[in-house]
Amino acid sequence: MGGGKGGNFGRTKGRQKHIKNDVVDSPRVGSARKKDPYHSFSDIVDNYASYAERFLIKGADGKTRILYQIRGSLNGIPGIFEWIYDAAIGVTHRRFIPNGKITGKPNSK
Amino acid sequence: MVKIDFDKYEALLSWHSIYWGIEKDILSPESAILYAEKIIELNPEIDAPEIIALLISENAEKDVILSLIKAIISNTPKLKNSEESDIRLLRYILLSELKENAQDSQSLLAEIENIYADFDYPTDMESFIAYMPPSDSYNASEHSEEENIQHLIYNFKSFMSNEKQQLKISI
Repeated sequence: MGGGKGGNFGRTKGRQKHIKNDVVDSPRVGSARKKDPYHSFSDIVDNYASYAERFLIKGADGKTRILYQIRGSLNGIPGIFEWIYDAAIGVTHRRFIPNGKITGKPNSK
Repeated sequence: MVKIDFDKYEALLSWHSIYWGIEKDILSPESAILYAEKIIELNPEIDAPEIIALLISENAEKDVILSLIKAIISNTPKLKNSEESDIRLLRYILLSELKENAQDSQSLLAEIENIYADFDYPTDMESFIAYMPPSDSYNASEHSEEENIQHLIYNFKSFMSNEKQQLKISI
């Protein structure tokens, strides 16, 4: 998959399927709203969070959040897409990491 | 975007860091004009037509401002610091501004997360990013929410103190 593609995702024979996951259904806050290409990739990519690996991460603030990571590519560059979902707030982190790997830890390079 | 107090931090800035900050949307294009005003105020005899061109520019759009800064950089003698140090100094300034103007610890930590993202998630900031797992032996589960926040703030202050020392900042 890749940013800007995947327009057929969730559609079957002309009928639109409603994708539901924590990422699609939640507001973006903080750095998840940044406008540069590695943060503001196509919204369609959020649909794929349903297929991402899911990790519970406990931050240094003691709160547990969900980290989603999935392999993909953006503008021909391989890497991972990752999101952090905080049930109390929404999507607090949304980024593409060029050449990133799925590690279960945010921001791994 | 964080506003910089140019009276206080002018000496720590460079045209390179201003360019970098505007290009990354960390600083507003107007910040270049404020920086230029400060330079002219401090050096009224300066012969820098490129800086004057920036000051009198009627177009404050990002691309226009960046091309004017590029002209200044190309006519400026070699930088006193490396590009990497300039960007580190900019990060120090932005974090200092957040620290000085924060309403409370939680909002300070939320703002710091934005700077962490703006500077492409540097590992040396991980110890005071709330959502990152602790990078030391600290066990957040054994402490109250307030204690965890204060631990993050303590790590932030330690980082700032180390940066101040390493970057030889005297203000």
